Amino acid sequence: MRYLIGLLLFSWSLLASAEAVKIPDYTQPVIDQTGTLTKAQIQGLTAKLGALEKEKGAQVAVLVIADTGDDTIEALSLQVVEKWKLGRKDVDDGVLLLIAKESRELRIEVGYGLEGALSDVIASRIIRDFITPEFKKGNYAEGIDTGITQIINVIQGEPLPEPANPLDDLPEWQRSLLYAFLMALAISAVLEKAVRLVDIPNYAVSGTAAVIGFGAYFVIFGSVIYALACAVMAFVIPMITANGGMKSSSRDRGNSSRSSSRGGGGSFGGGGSSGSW
Amino acid sequence: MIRMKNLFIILLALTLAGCGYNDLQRRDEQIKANWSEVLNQYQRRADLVPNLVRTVQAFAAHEKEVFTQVTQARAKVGSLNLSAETIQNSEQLGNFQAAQSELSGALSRLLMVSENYPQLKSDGAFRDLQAQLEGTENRIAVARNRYIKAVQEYNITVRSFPSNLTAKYFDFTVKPNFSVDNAAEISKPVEVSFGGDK
Repeated sequence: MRYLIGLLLFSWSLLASAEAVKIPDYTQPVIDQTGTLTKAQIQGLTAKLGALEKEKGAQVAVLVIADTGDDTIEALSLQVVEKWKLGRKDVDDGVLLLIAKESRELRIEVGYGLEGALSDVIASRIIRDFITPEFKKGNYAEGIDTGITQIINVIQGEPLPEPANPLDDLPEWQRSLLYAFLMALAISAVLEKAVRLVDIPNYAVSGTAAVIGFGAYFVIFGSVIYALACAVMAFVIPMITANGGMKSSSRDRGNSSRSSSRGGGGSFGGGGSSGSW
Repeated sequence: MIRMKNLFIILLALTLAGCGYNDLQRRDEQIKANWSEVLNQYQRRADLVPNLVRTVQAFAAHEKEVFTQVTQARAKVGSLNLSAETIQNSEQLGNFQAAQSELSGALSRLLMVSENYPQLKSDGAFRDLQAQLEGTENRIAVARNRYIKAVQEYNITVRSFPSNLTAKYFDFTVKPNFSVDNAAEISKPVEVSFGGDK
C-alpha cells in the first residue's frame, strides 16, 4: 500500500513537472533554448550586455524559449526574474527580455530600479516599434539585437549608482583583513629580497616585517587592531615562505570580464510590457 | 552551579526563539509591506482612469454607458477608506475587493468597446495608456500574489504548534485573505447594478 502511494505521488510529480516550463539556471546573459541565434550573434549580444554592466552596473538578460506552457508570459517572466535576481541588490536595475518563439509572445520585464526610465510605455514602444516588426519578418536575431540596443540606450540615459568595486561587497572587517594581508605579503616579499643580500636569521626577518607591518598599517589606515593583525601576518609569512621560497605563481585568471554569470539580487514587481507578433 | 545557570539561560533563549514570536512579528510586518504595495498599485490604476476615459471619449463619444460605469466604479474605489485596518477586517477586505473588481470589469469593457474603433486603436496616446494600464494590472496581480503568500505564511504560523500558543498569548489572530478566483470574476460579464444603490 505504501509503495502504491509512493508510486502515485511520484507519477503525479512527473505530471506536474511536465506541464510547467522548466526555467534554466542563469549561466550567461543570453540563453537561447531554441537554437534561433547563432553562436556569433550570442557572443555579440553578450559583449554588448557585458559592456553595459561594466559601465552602468545594470544587468540585462535575454532568454529565448520555445513556448510558455500553461503559464501566461507575464507569470513565466516573473518566475524567471525571481529565480535569476537580475540587477544589483537594492538598486534593482535588472531587465529581462523574454521571447517565447512558438507562442509568438514576448515580454520586457523591468526591475524596480529601472521602472522610471524603462517605463511600461517605453517598453511597449520598444516591443511595438522595434522588435515585433522584425519578428514578423522572421528576423529574430535582428529583432532581439535592435530591442537590446534600445533598452541599453534607455538605461544609458538613466543616472544609476556607479558599478560597485567587488571589494565593496565585502563586510568591513573582511576588507580590512584583506588589506592587512596584502600589506604583510608585500612587506615580506620586499624583505625576502633584501635578505638575499645580507645574511640574517629568519626570526629577525619576521620581527622586522612585523614591526614594519604594524607601523605601515597604522599610519595608512589608523586602526590598531588591524595593524596588529597585519603585524602577525607579516611575522608568519616570512616563516612560511623561508622554507619553500616564494614561488611567484602568477596564475592566469583568464579574461574575467565582469559579465557576471549570476544575478546580483535585484527585485522585480511586474513592471514592463508584453507583446505578440 | 554556575554552569547550571548558564545552561538554563541558554535553554530559555532557545525556547523563546523557538516559540515563534519573532516569526510572528516578521510575518506581520511583511504583510503590512505587501499590503501597501497592493494599495499603491490599485491607486496607480485609479489614477490612470480619468486620462483613459478622456482619450476614449475623444473617439467614441456616444458610448456613454461604458463611461458612466467606469467613472462610477472609479468613484466607488476612491471613496473607500483604505487604512491599514482593512487587512484585519474580512468584511472591509471583501468590500475593497468587490469595488476593485468592479472597476476591473468596467475597464475591461471599456477596452472591449475601444476594439471597435480602429482610429482609436492606432492612436499613440491611447496605445501608451493601454500599455500603462496593462502594466499596472500586471503589477496588481504580482502585488496581490505576494500579499496572499505573506498572509498564508502568517496564518500558518498563527495556527501551527507551538507558535499558536504564542500567537494566542500576544493576540495575533488569523488574517483574512484575498480570494484567488478574481480572474474568473473579471472575465465574466458584469452583473452588478452600477450606481443603483450608490
